[in-house]
Amino acid sequence: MAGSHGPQFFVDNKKGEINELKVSLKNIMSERDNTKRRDVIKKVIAYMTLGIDVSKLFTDMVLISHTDDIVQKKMIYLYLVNYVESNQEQALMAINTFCKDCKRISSQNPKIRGLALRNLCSLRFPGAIEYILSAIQDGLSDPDPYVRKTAIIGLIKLHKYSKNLIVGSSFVNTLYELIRDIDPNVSINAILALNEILEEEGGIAINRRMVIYLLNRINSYTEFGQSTVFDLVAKYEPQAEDEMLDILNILEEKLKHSSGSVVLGCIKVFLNYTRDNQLMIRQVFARIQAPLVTLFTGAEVTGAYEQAYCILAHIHLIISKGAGGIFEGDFKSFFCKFDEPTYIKFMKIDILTMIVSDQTVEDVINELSAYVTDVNAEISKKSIQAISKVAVRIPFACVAIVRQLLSFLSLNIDYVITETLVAMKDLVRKYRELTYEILAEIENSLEIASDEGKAAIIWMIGEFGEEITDAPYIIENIISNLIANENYQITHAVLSATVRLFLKRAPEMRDILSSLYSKLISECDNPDIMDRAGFYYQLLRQDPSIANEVLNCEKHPIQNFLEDDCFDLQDILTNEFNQLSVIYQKPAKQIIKPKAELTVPEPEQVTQVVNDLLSLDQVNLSENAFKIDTEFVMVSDDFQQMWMTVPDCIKYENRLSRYINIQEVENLMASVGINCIASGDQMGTLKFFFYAKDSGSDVLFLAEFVIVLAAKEASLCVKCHDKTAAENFKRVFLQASSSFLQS
Amino acid sequence: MASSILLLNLRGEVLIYRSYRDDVSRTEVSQFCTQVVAAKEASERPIVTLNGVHYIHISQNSITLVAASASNVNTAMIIQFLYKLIDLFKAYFGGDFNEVLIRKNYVLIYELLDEIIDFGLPQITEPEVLKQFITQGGIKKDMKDEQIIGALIQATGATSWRPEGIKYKRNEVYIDVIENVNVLMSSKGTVLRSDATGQIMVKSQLSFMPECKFGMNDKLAMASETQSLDKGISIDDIKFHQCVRLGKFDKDRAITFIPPDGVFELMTYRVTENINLPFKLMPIYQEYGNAKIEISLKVKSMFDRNLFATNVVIKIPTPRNTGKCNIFVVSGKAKYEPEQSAIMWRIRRFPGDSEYSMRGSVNLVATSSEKAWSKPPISIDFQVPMFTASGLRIRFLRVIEKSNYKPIKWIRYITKAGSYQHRI
Repeated sequence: MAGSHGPQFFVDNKKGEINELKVSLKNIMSERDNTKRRDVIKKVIAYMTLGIDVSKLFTDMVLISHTDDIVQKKMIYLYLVNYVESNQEQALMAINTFCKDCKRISSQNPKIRGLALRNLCSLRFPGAIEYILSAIQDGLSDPDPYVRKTAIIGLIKLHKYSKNLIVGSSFVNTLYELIRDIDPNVSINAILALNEILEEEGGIAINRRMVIYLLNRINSYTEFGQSTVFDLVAKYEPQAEDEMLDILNILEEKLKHSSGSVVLGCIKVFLNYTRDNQLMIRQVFARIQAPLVTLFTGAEVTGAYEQAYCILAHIHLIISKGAGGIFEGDFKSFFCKFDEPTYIKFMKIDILTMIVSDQTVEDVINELSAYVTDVNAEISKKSIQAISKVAVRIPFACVAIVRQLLSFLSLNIDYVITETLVAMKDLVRKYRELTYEILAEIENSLEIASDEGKAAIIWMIGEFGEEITDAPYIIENIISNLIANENYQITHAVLSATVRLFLKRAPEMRDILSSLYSKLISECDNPDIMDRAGFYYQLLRQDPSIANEVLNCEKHPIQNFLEDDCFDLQDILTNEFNQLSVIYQKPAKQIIKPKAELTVPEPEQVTQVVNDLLSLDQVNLSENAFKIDTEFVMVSDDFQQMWMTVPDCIKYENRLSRYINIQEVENLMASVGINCIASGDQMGTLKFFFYAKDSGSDVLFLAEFVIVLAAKEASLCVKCHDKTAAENFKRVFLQASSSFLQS
Repeated sequence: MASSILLLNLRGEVLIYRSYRDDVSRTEVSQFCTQVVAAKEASERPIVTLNGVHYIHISQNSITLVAASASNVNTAMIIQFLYKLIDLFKAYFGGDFNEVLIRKNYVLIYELLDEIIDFGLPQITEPEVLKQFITQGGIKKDMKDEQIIGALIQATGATSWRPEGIKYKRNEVYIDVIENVNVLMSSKGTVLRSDATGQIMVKSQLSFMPECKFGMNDKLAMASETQSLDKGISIDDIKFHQCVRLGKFDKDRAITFIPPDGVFELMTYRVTENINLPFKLMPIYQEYGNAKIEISLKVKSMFDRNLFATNVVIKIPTPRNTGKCNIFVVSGKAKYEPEQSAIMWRIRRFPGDSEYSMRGSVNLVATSSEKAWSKPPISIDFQVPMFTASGLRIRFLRVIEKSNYKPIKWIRYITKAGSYQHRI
């Protein structure tokens, strides 16, 4: 369309063109042939997309919008939405058009009603809200499911636009009713809407009846709907074990579903329901193993590596939750194929190191060794790290693994040698008995390895120098080639190793040590290294035997590794299974940035805001005057006496935003000068008595603070003679407790 | 869920941008385009986070589909959804999907995106329903219904996958068992892993509401019918089309269903035990210093002599600095292809139970680069009709319909090479 008229857009008579369009719009008003009408409207849209201002035609477009043809409607709506925000008067005209089209009397076609409603709900200015609300109200009870589902989404849009409009209104109840709508799309949309609207209360409230209802009709939902339902069911806590087993039995067949998100959603329910039952969780792990393996191998075959990655991440998580044994028999499924993307290979290598067992260690090590020669240096390095991890995990295989590692040194590839040396350095920290095996081989690699590898060798020479016959001469050689300012990492390593070796083999090392010092003094300009050199010098001068104790002290063999002990994190992830958190293996808090809320205040609220600003000023003034005396101390007898006599002044209630313990509350309060005189925990109810004194007016404040952990409720009662001062105290108190109370 | 959906080309240029929520702005999204896609880092990780915005993306035919979100989304669902989008576009574009088609059909795509997602939440994904809302026909206007149905196999509703009143003159069912066999052999010739993933595609042209019962030589299902001598095969895991009654399967392993009309995927399965490997490779690489490699390769077909494999392509990798190759083969054609860095040996027809061999010497050109040769595995591609690597057989398909017609049934088997590799 636009193409055939192309050249004419840039000529001077653009105005004329628009006038011409205006005329033809008027002409087609009574036209019955839809194709002719479509052509004219298309021309308007074509101009609009080219960036020509056709807003003058607004009235005409509104006038011709009376049609049953869905193609014309779509184009007219596109036009209206585009120009609606530029002009208030026009906006009202557009709203009227949409509202009319939403009504059943004026448009018989439910598709048009739905379209109009969707466009209406995406308008964003304060005047429109009233109209939108009433249109949504009608839409929710429309006989056609398409309109109903659009109306529900409209509610979410309104909620995002203005926070308090929907929460607490009768719409919420209507939404709960709509979950039972006969149309599956409407039902799912109602759930999604409730989840978003009630987000601050933790999403939709779920009970037994709803769970049973949803599971009974689960097959009517699309795969996306099914995962939504499973997310919801996972939140439910079954009352009794029988009930839990019933639900799980219903769900079990869903593990055979071909959609990854449905299967993962189903697994989420399984994991959540059985998390406190060690016996059952093992059964669950055994049950979900085959579906998971099928899912990721299936995704790989079809080339959907992204999906395979996502599922592997979930497997990774499940394994680190203690299900390693379950996948042990399937370890060959995790062997990398040549043409897989790097991210898949990384994930698989990680998983292999986690599921390796005494029986499979030989195969796994052979497989990992095959990756060392991969062209991709990253894969090669990763597999060397993995091999050393396996050695840490399976102690009996460590000798064989070290021999395997040593064989990599002969590959003569610099990054392989470096990575191998670093891996071996870490290994000898755990298996000191391996030292001899390793030391005999590594000297030759010194030439080829890069800095990190060199530093690893030098460290080992310092640590085990007594067992290497020619250690002093190796060091001497290194020192003579050393350029102190070139690489600090190596200089550091050389310095430490030389001093430590000196303490072990003083006669041979004397001259070498002094030559290193003279070299450093004359060449080195790094203060860090010079400081350390000075420190060693002082230490040696004081008493070499003390120096020996400090530098060559007996090291405890390493038993546990930090990585194995992060179970807390893993538990958080049960709740966030099948979500982004799993990919990053971090709880949502760490990966989701806090939202910047976009809310538009209503006109009435604007005046309130002004009031608030004024009162804020007052508060600020009095804040200067109000200051809590941090030195003040009160004895408990006085407190008790006052507590009986002084009347209650302020009562305040709020909800906790997170769980907290006694010590933390006390510390927070102490930081602002509010002292605790007594506190206690009775069956999950924390009770505190606080006191404080205003340093200016010497007014005393007593407070009782009660937290009911189960209900997440907190209440504060302040006793004081002076009401305004008490308000100030309350403000300080709430400030200090802002980290755990809801704002 | 998704705050916006984008289609990008290789250079990170935006072809389609549809924003659903304003918690992710266009400027934020453009960071992803420049820093990840244009920087050619998109293939490094399918999920990227930049400044608190999460980008989940997939690529096909050098088009990147991106879903941007600021919340803790269901990743598996989004990836699946993106793949579904591609399928849907392909159905509308007549099977193809590339930049030119996207640019040509942008109106259609925006229209589709309007109906498929509302405010970031997936809505209508059933193509049948979708057709009512889409005014643009795509280039292929006379697209067959089954094509769209095939694009989105998953149906919803009670028996929403099958309308009432379908009628055929000839009632026919076509069943295709398609298996991909994946094998990884070590350089010493031991099998590191082997499995077969299968797919049973059904094309049903049956009248009215037929009730089908489907049987195969599944070990667990056969255990109940003791008269049979055949033990059956053990299937590790099965996934079914929505139409199969899973409850019934769980109870007595019977597969019963009312089929959708046209082509659909009845089930997918995976077998890891007792895989019949169709081919055995026996390579010998002999290196003579840095100048020459002698390769000899024997390929033996392990299936029945009545069968034959077609389109067998064996890729025998050689170092990058390969100069001249002297290759000698008895059957098929083999030649060195520099762009593949490999000798490609093509055999159009490979009969069962026979052995072919190749000998070749590769002269290497001296190079300055010292990088070691990565030694990629020898891989083989083939198709063996009427053969299943898993040993799966269809035993029966019973169709019961009130009008009592007897449908004609056609059954085919084919095994293809998945990733069939032999390390060297």
